[in-house]
Amino acid sequence: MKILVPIKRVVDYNVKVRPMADGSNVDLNNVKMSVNPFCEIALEEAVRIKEAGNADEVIAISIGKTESQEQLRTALALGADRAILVETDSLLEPLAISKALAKIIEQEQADIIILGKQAIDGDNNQTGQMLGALLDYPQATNASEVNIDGSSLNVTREIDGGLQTLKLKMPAIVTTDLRLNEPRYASLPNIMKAKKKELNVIPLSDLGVDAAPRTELLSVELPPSREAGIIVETVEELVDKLKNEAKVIS
Amino acid sequence: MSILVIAEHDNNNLKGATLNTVAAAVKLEKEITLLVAGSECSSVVSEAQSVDSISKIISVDDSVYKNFIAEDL
Repeated sequence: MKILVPIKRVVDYNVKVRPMADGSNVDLNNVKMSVNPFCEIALEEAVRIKEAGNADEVIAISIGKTESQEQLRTALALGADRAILVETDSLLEPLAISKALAKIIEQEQADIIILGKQAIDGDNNQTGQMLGALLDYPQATNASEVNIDGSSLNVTREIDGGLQTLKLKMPAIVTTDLRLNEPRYASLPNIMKAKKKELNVIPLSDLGVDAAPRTELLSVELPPSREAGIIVETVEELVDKLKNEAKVIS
Repeated sequence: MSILVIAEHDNNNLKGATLNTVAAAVKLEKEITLLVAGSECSSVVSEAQSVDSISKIISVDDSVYKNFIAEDL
């Protein structure tokens, strides 16, 4: 059985990002990049399924610039067996990413695809769902527990007001929530071994997908800064401010 | 242009988020169609009928929609 884990290269979660001076995008110059934390959880789950003897191969895949190879090497150090980079210079939208992933999944005949539920840069939470629709595979989003049961997957999902358990027939798509597991750290020997593992680079144009953007980013700006609070002297002053400044009572 | 809003509900009541969505849709376009897919969800439909800004409601009532699985919708 094969498990495929898509990985996204994003700004490290510790970095405080700023918009560019002209507000056209987020300033990514000289910023530390990492594996999206939700993708790390997805990879950890795939590696644990393999370690439990329920899978033969874990493949990490990323779609992006050449630099994404760094994140794929991290994935290999964390336990993926081989990696694929679909190389493109443009920053693709979730739909284009899903189309490219669908092509690779059809080539690789993966049985389970585990993705992070969202990337911490775009916060779109779309790729897994779109992939499910494109491939017509069953999907379980926001997973907090994944169990293999013969040719099916039992997935517990975190939903509003509780947990929901779904049974999916494989091949299936799972997207991970924060509480699914706690990813391991890469050990030094594994980082060294990862350098020798297979990493295939495929140009996006070879896949023949329509990756044209459907949306346009107009501007990026910081949220308005909060003004400091004030201490009122009397109840009358408070009532006056609520009435005339905040206008919450009349 | 017309806008389709998909109702979020629990087969008994319409969720508040649907009203937020409808309010946002009205700002873009006056013609709002609401899709209520569920199982034995007539109370949701009558609740939606009381929302003024919705011009048309499509109700699909079938047991396959009981658990709101995305694939069936």
